[in-house]
Amino acid sequence: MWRYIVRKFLAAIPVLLGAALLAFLILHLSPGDPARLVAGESAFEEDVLLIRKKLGLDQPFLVQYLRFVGSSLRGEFGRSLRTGRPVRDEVAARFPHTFELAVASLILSIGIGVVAGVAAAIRPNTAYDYGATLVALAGISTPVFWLGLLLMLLFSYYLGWLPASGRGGPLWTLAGLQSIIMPAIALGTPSAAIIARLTRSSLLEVLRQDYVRTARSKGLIERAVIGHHALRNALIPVVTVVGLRLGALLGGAVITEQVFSWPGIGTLIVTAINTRDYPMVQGTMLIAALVFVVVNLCVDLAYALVDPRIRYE
Amino acid sequence: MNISRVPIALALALVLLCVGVATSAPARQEIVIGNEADVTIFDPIRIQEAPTSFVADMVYDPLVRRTLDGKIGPALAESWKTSPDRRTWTFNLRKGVKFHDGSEFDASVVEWHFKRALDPKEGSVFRRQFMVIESIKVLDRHTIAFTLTEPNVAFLEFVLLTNGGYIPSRKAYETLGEEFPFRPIGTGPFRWAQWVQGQRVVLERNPDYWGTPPKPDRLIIRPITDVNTGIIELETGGVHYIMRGSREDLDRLSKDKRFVVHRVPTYRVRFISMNSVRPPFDDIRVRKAVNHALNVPEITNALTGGMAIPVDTILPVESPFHPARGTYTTYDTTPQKARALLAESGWRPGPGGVLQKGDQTLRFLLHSPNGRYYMDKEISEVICNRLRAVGIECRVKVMDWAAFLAEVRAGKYEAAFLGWNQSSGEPSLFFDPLVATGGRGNYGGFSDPALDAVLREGLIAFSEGRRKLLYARATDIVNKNAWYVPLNNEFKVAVTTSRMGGYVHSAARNDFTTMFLK
Repeated sequence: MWRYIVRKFLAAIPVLLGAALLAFLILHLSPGDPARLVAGESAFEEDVLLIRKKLGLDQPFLVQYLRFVGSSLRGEFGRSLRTGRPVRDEVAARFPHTFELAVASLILSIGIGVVAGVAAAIRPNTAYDYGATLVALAGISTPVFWLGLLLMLLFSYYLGWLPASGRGGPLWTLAGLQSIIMPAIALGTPSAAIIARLTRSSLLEVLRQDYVRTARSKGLIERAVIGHHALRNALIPVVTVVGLRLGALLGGAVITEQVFSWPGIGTLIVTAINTRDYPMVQGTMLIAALVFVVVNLCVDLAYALVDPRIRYE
Repeated sequence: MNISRVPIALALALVLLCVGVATSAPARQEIVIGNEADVTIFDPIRIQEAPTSFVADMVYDPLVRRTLDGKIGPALAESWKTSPDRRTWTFNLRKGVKFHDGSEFDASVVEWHFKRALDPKEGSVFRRQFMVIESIKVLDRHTIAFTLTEPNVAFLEFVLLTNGGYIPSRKAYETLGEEFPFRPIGTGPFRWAQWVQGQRVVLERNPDYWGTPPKPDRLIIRPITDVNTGIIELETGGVHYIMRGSREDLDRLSKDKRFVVHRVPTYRVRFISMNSVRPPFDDIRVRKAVNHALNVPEITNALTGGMAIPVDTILPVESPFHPARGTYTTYDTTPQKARALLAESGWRPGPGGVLQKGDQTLRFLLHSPNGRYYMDKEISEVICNRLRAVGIECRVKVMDWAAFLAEVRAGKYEAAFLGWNQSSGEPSLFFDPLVATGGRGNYGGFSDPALDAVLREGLIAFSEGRRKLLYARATDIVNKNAWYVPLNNEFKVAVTTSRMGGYVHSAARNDFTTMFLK
């Protein structure tokens, strides 16, 4: 098991280097001058040149990239060009909020998705099944920003139950809990729909297996057949998708955070891209890639919990 | 039974009394403001963004401050005068003023601040502008003199009224180290209380403020990046004040008694810049033809009605120096004149009606940002569409702001949708950067020696009448050269709850000290 984890981590190194290279390439190929940003709109060209030199932006691309990789390995991601603060601190202040939002929406989407998927699978081709399919399709197709506004209109404007935007506080407080409900629904709806569709098809497949028939012929009640025998096997592909969704939720939170003024890395990265804050974009992307890799590893390990036949050698 | 009711009644009376006492105490005035984005950095010499600048304006004081009617009034300087040779500006500073950290404000702090702003090592974004200062001399503890490299009537506007003109505490700079840019300590009406990144900034009333005490006890400034979210927050009571909204929402809210919509034309000009050193706009006749081909009032009213007003100069209509109509060159919308000018320049109709000269086709790319200015992309698209009617092929190149600015600033454009924002109508703030030879916002290579001479005189002429004449002449020269198609002046918008009292909506500045909730 430990060897497996170490091997997975080693395999992650080229992924991270690739992500860093990609972030580097995209930024450096797009026009925009970060040195000018630091120097100010009216700065003398000599001042801009000095800053370019100080930031190392006058160096060849490869040198800049290797320097970035080197400092990243030491846990240093440079300083934001806009604020002068260490990127690590800026991300550390914001990332937990993105993470809590992603996890909340994932819990919500698993809860809704699995229940809806199971309910559709045990009554296939009924009005309920078609209804669930329709809702799931709508969930996948609904843009987050639009759904977010509709939620605000309903829960804040008409009902007055929830605050329209912002983070009310830590999640263990009522204000904190109230403030995360709508962003979590908006962000989690497409995932819930995907999980529902996948659970349904996977469970239908499993329900046709011989061991399910055996379980039923033993006289087990239907709840035990579905819950203990069928669902556990049907959830293996769902676990894979859940892992991938968490990564997508972390990345996809950008729009949700904008709509709900959620103080995560989404708003940070959008501003950083618009202002060509190179170190901030690179650092955030690298940290996001690292989280993605770790999440995937956790998903791999979770297989063993769901399916005891899987062993890591 | 009756006996047991007595203590209950007494207890009830006591509770009611307590409630009565509690409710009769004055309510704490806490005003929540929706900001367009989170604040960033509060070192005055590095503040570049409006969402940070308006917060800084409540914490710091400059030497002089703009009044709500656009004039310049005293702040940390009680009075000032200029020398006969018009190069030395002397300021008498306010006595007994303390920074929020208890340190004293005096001439040595002012000297330190401006010297720091001129020091290349400090990374001031205003260094170039401030280099008009030749020397700074402390005459006594409360008097300071700035000597300029050359006479400059607009010194207050150029230096003191920029973000770099806010005076921070020297003690804070020396003691806070790396935290200095993130914990602003000034002399302003509000003190910095809390900043939760991405969530809110909390300012508290400064009880020792030297001026009229501010009415709010606390100001909470929340970053709300999405326009629609801002509107819903206002409607649901999450904020009391927002600074923007879509045209449809503003029209709707203006009919709703629960809100007050404020609009005022500002010193924000939008225009099309035509690059005079690249074809096809290196030919003045083509530039004039474009001006004649476009019906700017029609385009502006259709796309930005209620949010901007059409203009025909690069100087905002609100500027006291804006010349009277009829005293400067303008271009009436006459497509025939446009066609005639293009024909005179040798352009002949080719296939599909697009004009040609030899093997050249009359076409250009119009660089446009998307959402930086109100309806920028949409206006650009309509402009291109209209120009086809006179045989000019135009395509809009929509770019993200940083990329747009990099190309335009390097002069790599034929035409571009641009804007210029200032906090006052001082004409030199528009003319000098935009049209003086080598001006910092003159991206299209515009140069006219006669105009440069007029602008130089505009900076040294102290008589307002003379200056008005000079800038009327400058307006005429700029329009004769047809470097720009002036489009509109954007409105400054704010929406407040109708419970809000004491707010004065001004193009010059935001003043939150007079606000209170009824």
